[in-house]
Amino acid sequence: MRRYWKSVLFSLSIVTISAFVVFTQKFSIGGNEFGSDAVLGLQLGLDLQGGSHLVYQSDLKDQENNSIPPSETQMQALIKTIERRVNSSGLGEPNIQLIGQDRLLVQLPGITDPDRAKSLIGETARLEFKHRYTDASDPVSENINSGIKNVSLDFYPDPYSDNDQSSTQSSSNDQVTPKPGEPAPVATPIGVFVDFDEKAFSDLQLLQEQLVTSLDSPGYDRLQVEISGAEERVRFELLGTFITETDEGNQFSFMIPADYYDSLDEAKTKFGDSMSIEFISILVGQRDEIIGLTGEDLERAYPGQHQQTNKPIINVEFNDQGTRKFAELTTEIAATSDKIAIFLDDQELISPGVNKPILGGAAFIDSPTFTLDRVNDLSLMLESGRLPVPIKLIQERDVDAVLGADSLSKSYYAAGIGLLLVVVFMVLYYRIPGIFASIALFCYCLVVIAVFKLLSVTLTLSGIAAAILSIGMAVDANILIFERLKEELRTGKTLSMAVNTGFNKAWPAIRDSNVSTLITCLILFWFADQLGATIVKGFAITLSVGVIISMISALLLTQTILKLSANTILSKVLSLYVPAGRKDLL
Amino acid sequence: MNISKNKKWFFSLSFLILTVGIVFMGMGGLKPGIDFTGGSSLTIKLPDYNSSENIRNALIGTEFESSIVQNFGDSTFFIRTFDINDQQKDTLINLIDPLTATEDDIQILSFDLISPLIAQETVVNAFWAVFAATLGIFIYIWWAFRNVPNPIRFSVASIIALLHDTLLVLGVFAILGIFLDYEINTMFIIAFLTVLGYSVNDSIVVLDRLRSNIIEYSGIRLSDVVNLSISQTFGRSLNTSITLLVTLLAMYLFGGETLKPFILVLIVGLISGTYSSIAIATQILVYWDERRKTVA
Repeated sequence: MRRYWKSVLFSLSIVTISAFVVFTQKFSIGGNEFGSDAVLGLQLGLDLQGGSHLVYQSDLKDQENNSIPPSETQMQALIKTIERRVNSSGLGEPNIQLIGQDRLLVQLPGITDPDRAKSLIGETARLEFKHRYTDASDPVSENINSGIKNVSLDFYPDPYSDNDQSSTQSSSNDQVTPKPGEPAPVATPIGVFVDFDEKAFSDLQLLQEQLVTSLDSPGYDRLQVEISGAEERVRFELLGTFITETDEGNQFSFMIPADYYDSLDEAKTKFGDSMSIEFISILVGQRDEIIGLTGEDLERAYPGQHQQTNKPIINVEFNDQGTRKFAELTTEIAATSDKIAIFLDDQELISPGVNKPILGGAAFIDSPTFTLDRVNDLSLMLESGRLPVPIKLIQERDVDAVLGADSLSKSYYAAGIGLLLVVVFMVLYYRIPGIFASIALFCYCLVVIAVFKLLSVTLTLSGIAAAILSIGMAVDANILIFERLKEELRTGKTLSMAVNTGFNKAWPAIRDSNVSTLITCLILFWFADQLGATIVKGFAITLSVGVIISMISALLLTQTILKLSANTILSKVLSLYVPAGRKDLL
Repeated sequence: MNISKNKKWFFSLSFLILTVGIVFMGMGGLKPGIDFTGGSSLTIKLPDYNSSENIRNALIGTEFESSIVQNFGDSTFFIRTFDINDQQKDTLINLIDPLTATEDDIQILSFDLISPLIAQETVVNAFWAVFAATLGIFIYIWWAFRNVPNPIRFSVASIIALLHDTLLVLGVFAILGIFLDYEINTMFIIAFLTVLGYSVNDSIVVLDRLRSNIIEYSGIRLSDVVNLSISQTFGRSLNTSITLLVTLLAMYLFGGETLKPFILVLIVGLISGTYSSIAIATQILVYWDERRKTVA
């Protein structure tokens, strides 16, 4: 027994560590996270947890319309853009890989709406510049804005019911939403108090009436308000009924949506002393027209400073085609109150007016409300509206999460039954060694799962098939050993001698057969790598890991257990080691 | 156990089975799936029971007329068509929608789209993968058997056994293709390469016995050594095949509809692989040996 203590200790510690790895859902070693929320903490492939698998190919063309390969920087920029788009959409975290030089594999685990993801990723021109026709009524809000004398915050005196508060909140479609997860609503609403000059005050009164009367019609007029201060900038919608005149004279007040700030003090600190306010009226008379100027026409957008005022601005530059379209648009708009409405993913970003025709294709956008952060964000958003490389979808595989879960449970079920049948067969046929082999097999499964977890191998449907196949190979290795053991025992050797020779004789067959399987795996892996075929890759990786461990487990586990048993009382009953039947063979 | 005596019978049996398979292949039984032709496929679940006939009828006169519709059991259907975009996908679903009696929507369980470009590459890559795997194994066996006389014969024998098994799998699939519309896809290629690996795996175990016996019993007729080796490994071959078959059958019966063709390939390949290592690989060596001696 003493001779084997090293391998016994080694086997035991491997199995113990594996058991710990398998049965701990999640753990981390040296800052690396292992495990997941799935069964046994394994990484599940898209076919088992549902999701989308998309392969895109670069569609970059030169002037003569010949395909040209994209540079590595372009592809990296593409990955970043797609990542940003998907991340900001709340569709979950994408897994993006470069395949070869000009292909991208985008995997979106657990996604339920693949079409939305595709439109998000695939469209090269989600940024759209539209011509906003405004009817004569628009200057109203400009008049109001120019007549603002003072803005202040205070408790909102008028006690509205809770229902009313929530409707203010839901109707707001501000783009600059307050940070999510802001603490619960406050009991006392915060009010904004705005003093106007007489002209502006009466304009707002008129506008308010207009807003209230149009509330019932389907396309009602809307009024948005944007408040900026030291650290804060919010924009939300005001329904006509929610603006009230105060007793102060020429003063209107309205409420800030209840969940924006915890307390009046917090709001005051955030806005600081230099609070400004802007009313934006969106009237039914206004319409946006698509003019074919898109993100594809935009060369670049970057933040800058106004040369005279030093205020933050956004510089935009168009390419040749864009310059032409932009010149047309600005020429048309310059003398009117019309605007350029810029949309990203159908969300309005900004809608600047135009002072004079811009023919050179380079322009800047400024606004009294621009801050450094705002300008940075907007530039980024404008830039991301344009993919650095045009792409086309060449492969798609969507699996519904329900189907995935179904496949997963069926596979576990099938694997369990298969394993059970193997154990029954081995114990019935090989008796004591069969029991040992079953123990070895159980340990083998533990080690394989542990290695999968440590190497973060993604388990796919084909991977499960490969795992089951590798169990077959592990069993085969054991069977080879037992058959040899049986033969050696029949020549009259002692058990421990028979174990040794049996092993040495079985080894070349185990080695050669497994190496040939590994060769196939290697080639499969290469084949898969060419295509981004994750199914094939999963199969090849799982099978190789399984085969390598099966060789080690046959060498170490089965041998150790058999040698150990040779020193126990079991060895006295050799018939326990010789299988039933087939005695005629020798 | 005198297997070598009956080798002509084994060769004839294999020849017969393979011929049937080849005839079915000639009849167009090997139906390339979208992985090889490009196109798209959907697996949809209707809220209530329906037949593939009804769905086919609903598509008549539309651009989807030539689609293949298969029932996957219950109210789940597999539809294969050209490479459609999202609008066309919606149109297709809307065509089928009136067939359902309830208000519930049709569920898209899975959707696959392969552009003809990538399909073409898959064909080329699959071919190279099979070729490279065969070549790699050929060279490895040649090297592994370097200690016995004529090691290249062992390589050739196991490659012929391998071709036998892969051809048989293709034949069976051609038959299933004619009768059950089974298609060749990426999963099939994986199964095919696995069969390839297993076939060699199994041949090697028998040939390994032969290798050590040839060294041990030099001077004895090869056919006798082969017979001895086969009897010695027969128990192992049978037991390994049975255990694998049991696991595969469990997978086939409980593993879900999508895996069935895949598992079926493995089962056919497993049976063929076991048979060919005994009746083909070793017997080719005997045949070769005897012919050489007659000629000499």
